[in-house]
Amino acid sequence: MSKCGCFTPRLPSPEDKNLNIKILGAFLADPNGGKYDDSLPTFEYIPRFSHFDPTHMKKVRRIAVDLSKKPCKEMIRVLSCLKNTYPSSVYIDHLARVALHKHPDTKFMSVPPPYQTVPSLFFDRDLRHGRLEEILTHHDTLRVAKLDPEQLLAWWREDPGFSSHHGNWHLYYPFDESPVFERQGELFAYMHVQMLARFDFERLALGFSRVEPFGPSFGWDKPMKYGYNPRLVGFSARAGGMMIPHSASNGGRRVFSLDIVRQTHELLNGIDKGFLINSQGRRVPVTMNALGLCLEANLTHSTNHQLYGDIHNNGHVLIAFCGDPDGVWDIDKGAMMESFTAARDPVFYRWHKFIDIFFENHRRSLRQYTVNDWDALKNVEIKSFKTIIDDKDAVNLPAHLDLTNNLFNYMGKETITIYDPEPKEITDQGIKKSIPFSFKLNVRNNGRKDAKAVFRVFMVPYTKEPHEVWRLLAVELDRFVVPLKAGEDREIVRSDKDSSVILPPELTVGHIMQGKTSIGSKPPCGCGWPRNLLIPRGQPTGMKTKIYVLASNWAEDGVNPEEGLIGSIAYCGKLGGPYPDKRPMGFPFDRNTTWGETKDKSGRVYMPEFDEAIIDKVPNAAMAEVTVTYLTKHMIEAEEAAEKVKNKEFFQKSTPVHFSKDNFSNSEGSSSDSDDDTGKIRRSLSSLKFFYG
Amino acid sequence: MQLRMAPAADGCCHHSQSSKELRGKILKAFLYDSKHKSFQDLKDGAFSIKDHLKDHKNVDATVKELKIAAKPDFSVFIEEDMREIQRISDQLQRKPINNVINAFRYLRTACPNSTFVDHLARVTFQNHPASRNVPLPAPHQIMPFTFFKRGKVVAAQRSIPGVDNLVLELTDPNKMLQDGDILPTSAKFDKERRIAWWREDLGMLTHHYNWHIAYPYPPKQPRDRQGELFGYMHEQMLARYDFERIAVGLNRVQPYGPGFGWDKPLVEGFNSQLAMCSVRGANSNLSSSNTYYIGKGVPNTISLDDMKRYKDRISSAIAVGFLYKDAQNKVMLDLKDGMNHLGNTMQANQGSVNKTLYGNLHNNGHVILGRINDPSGMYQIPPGPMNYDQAAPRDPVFFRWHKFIDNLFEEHRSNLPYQNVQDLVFDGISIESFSVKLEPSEDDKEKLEKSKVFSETENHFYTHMENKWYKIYNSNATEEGGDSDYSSASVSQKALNHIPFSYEIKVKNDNKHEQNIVFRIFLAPEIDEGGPLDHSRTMFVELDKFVVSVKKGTKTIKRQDNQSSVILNPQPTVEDIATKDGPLRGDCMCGWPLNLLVPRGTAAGMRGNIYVMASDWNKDGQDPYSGMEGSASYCGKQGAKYPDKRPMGFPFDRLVVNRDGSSPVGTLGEFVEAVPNSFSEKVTITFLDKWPIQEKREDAKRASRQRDRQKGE
Repeated sequence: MSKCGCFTPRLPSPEDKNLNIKILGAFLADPNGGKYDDSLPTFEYIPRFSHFDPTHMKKVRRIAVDLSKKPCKEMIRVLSCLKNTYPSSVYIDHLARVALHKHPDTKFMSVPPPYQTVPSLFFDRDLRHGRLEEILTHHDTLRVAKLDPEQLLAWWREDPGFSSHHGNWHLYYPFDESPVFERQGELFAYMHVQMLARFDFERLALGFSRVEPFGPSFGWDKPMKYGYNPRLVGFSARAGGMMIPHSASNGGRRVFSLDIVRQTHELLNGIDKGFLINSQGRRVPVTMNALGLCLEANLTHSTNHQLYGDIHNNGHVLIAFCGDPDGVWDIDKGAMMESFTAARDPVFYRWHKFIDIFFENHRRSLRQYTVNDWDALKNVEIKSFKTIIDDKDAVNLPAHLDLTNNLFNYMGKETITIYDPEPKEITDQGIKKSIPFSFKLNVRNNGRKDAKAVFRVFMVPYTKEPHEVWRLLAVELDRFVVPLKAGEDREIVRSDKDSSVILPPELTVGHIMQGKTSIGSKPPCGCGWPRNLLIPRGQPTGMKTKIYVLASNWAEDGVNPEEGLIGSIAYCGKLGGPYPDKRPMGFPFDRNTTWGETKDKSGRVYMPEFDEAIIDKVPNAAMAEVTVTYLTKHMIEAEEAAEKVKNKEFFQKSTPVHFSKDNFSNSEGSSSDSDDDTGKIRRSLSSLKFFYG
Repeated sequence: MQLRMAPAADGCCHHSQSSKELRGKILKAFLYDSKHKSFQDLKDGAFSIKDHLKDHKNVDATVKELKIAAKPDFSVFIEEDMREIQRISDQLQRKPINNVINAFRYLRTACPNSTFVDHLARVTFQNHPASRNVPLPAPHQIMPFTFFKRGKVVAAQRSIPGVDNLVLELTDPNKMLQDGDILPTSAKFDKERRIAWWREDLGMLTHHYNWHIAYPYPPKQPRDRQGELFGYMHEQMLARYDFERIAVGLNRVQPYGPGFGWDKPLVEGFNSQLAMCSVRGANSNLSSSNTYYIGKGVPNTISLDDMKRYKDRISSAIAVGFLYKDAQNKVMLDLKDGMNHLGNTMQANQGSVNKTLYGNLHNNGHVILGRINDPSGMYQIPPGPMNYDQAAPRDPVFFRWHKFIDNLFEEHRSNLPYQNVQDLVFDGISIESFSVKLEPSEDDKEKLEKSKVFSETENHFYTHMENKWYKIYNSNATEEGGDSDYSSASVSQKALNHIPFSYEIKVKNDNKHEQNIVFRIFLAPEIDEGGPLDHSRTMFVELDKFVVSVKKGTKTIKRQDNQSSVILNPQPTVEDIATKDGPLRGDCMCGWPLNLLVPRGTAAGMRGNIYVMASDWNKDGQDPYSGMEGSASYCGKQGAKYPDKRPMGFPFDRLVVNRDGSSPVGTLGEFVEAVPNSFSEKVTITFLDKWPIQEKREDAKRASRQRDRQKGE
């Protein structure tokens, strides 16, 4: 280990491998293993454990710290005993992860993914017992989706990789008394706002409106129209039409709805005045980080826990216990009570949209960006930028498809081994997957000095809204550092699998059993966006999106300019170190941009002007118009059929095209460009303003 | 004593002279068979009940022919489900009995936890000519997961690979510690929990379940006075429930239904802790959706507005005194048949006067309240207990809903001609005394002597809670030394019981000839609400109704509590059916449990009134030579007319007025004074046990003390 406690790659020794296999014992119950035997007298089991309850988090931390002071072997023995005593307990799993993370010997060891060790949080009972298909046919799925539109996004919300990303993020950025990471509050805001952006992106693809906030003064006192059934053991369903209770209690701590309302006003007042009041009564300036710590709400680093309370966590508690706020009927908690399951519930996004209102209020008060802020790396010019699909054969795409600036998604299957606690293989049928792609950039450094550029890649759906509105839809795809020699043209090909947003391939239980360990490869925090959800699903007819890339100066931006951006740093930071990028998170879409001269008197920048300005004024930025197509099962089948008869006019056949050609006149790729009919129609279809028409 | 008892063969329901062999075979059709040959070659996940008809090669021939498949979320309150049961059952009744048995052995093993299969089996065997007289096993033994709470049936669901199962998982080890009755922390908030022991009594639940099997609605024609009995049976459940509520300091049950607050959120939540039922949160909003999906037939929806309309139509029919059969014909709601027509219409059986106009009020209410969590099935939340006749009375809202139904009956009753006391007089007959005598067994005597509250043996009921053991089948739980073929387990549950007692009635016959007298015994709590007797009329609980013939002169009649006409006689258990030789008596299993015959009362002694009335059985009885044997009061007699011609609940079925014909009778005392052939006596009901809360605390203290001692050692 390096001095700073940061992760430094080194070659794994055989001891590491053995230790890693032993660590598995803390996560997998052994029916013949030892039982808990009073060897840890301070241990206290928490039956209704929740990640959003500060008292629970404090207890866990205390126990984990105690454990991490023991010798490594002893700690693992105790954890294995606990696991055998409570084989399906979420609490024990959480404790093991925290304790292992705190112990210096095991800090950088691989831990198995949570969806393998506590599958009850990720897969519904029926899937775990091989009965999912039956359930879906018993209840008419189509009817279900018609009545509950949120059901159409269940594949996204309930993706196991996504759930474990959110859970692991909260695991490594706890709000308890642990030492706070630098910029943790800001990352709290950024990670969740990116979840919202991605969720909204998927919603727009389905023709839904963007998610609406739900919280005090946003429908908080009216019934929640839609309910949600997590179908997980140990969780209860929420019926439609439930109200937020005036207070709720998860065992000891009682949470009051009125407190949240008051704290909301206090915090909003602070943001608008520009200062918060700390616990000594002094004024401290509002920053994104301070705001994030107040909201999350960090027990020791919140500016004033007494005054600004615990808005984010308490909202989770109130929503989760709306059916049984006093624990009278012994009703299980709702999905919102657990960080691994909270993001499955549609109301999670409404709640976080509300939390984001605080951040938005603050962002609005910040200085707006101008061309100078964008032009952050002089003399570097991005000459061309596009996406390509290089590994065409691997995915068996038809030959006629245009693979440039076209991305494809489909719904696939994933077979996962779960330990329930016996090992069991299940097949999740609804996993969205994408066809692997790369960004291809041609960059030239016109300067006389070598430069180190950091490329920031964002994806935005095509929209007619002004910049200040669509800014929130910008989804970060990648951030990477490339050295550019003076006067050199360079072609950069960056694969999606290297993205700094996504979680690098994890080591599963099977891998660890075979003796693999993450020492020597990548940091093993388990936090990171799942690769299969990196790009939104798009639409069957092709969804028009734009990908922006901006190069900025890594020598200025980087905390350590010698080091690149390895692992899933964008949403999860760097394990044990500071956030490596000094810029505000989400730069350059973290706040509004004005170009100085706009056609709109209000100063609003719309997309065409924005693009124009990028091309004209910001040589170190580029934009690509990318079509994201969702290959539905029906389309793939039709495609295969078309392949058989060698008929190239697949799109004409499979999509109901009954408009006249004149309707396509506003499509900017004019039909005369192409002599191929198929391509023409496809382009035209993809340019239909699907949801803003 | 010359009781003109009917011969034993004339009981409530048939009883059986069945051969032991057939009995055993039919029993097997109710037991999950892990060695069933059809399932031996199955691997994990290879079998899905949905596909078994087309894919599974070992499927039973009869099952395949009739296309029987398990129905998820089956409910007796959904008409379409009942028609399906009837359709299949009618066809099965024409098949040889061996084929039927084989079909059910297959189905039981394929879908061991299907309430649909269980219901179908019971209906089929009860009606099949070859098995009509065969006693069937008790439902709580066969379907334990529908009658015992999660903590009771510890992981007791069996799972053969891939088969349609409900899997019980106990994630929280603390839940296993909770006993079946009061939870000390929660009872403070949820007052309804105070009488959870009553709502969860197995005898009461099986009574309700079997009543609905014995009195089905479509597509069969209703039985004799079915509608009236529907009203009366549920009204008596309410009366008994109110009695228990008053004893624990709760108010009488409040109605909940269209026009009675169901457009506002339902304050009470409920968690049945049954594996098949979902929980209901506090303030669940029934009106969050106006449309409720019921079944898959057409129309498959019912709206709250529809329910309101049906209720208003029935209300106005009661007000004008007739129901519309069609545009021209009216059905009068008179004294004789009015209750029956109204009951049939509300139960919406084939006797409903006009189903299009008056709808399916009672059943749809059950379905709507059962689906309050998920009106359109869009979240795939399973229904709540109100959806299942086995589980519905566990839910406090069941009684609130039935209070609403009963209010409609009460509206009708208030329109009927008053009952004049002079019509109740039985000339020449007078009751000189009436008392309740304790008849404790040796154990009971000990119990009484131990308790400090025991004071007198006359006109005093004593109740206590006792641990009852039940043997359950079709579960994974096995105990050592159990039946080797079929795994069984024992579970215990606390239930109320009382010290046995008998009634002693001294009756005087001044007439010259022998009289056939029916005695009607009721119990009501003493209340201080004031007002005429009519205010507490619906609180009279029927305890017994029996026929005795009395010669001229005075006679003392003694009647045991376990002879009561409301209770269910002891039924053969699975073990009896399997092992006992010789004929075995099996009733239709409908009947009030003996252990709940007397309400629990209070520890300090709850005051009540016991009332008896004698009337002429030659006039009242359907057949003067047979009495009210079996559990005829609440369940009638199978294959025969309801034995008592009087309105059910007589003489408390409607307002009683004095001889002047208009002023209502003020008190029970006045009533007895005016009617010499009746008698009332004050009684006290004392609950011998302590509050379970205290008991629990003491248990916990004792346990912790023991732990400390062990640690010290």
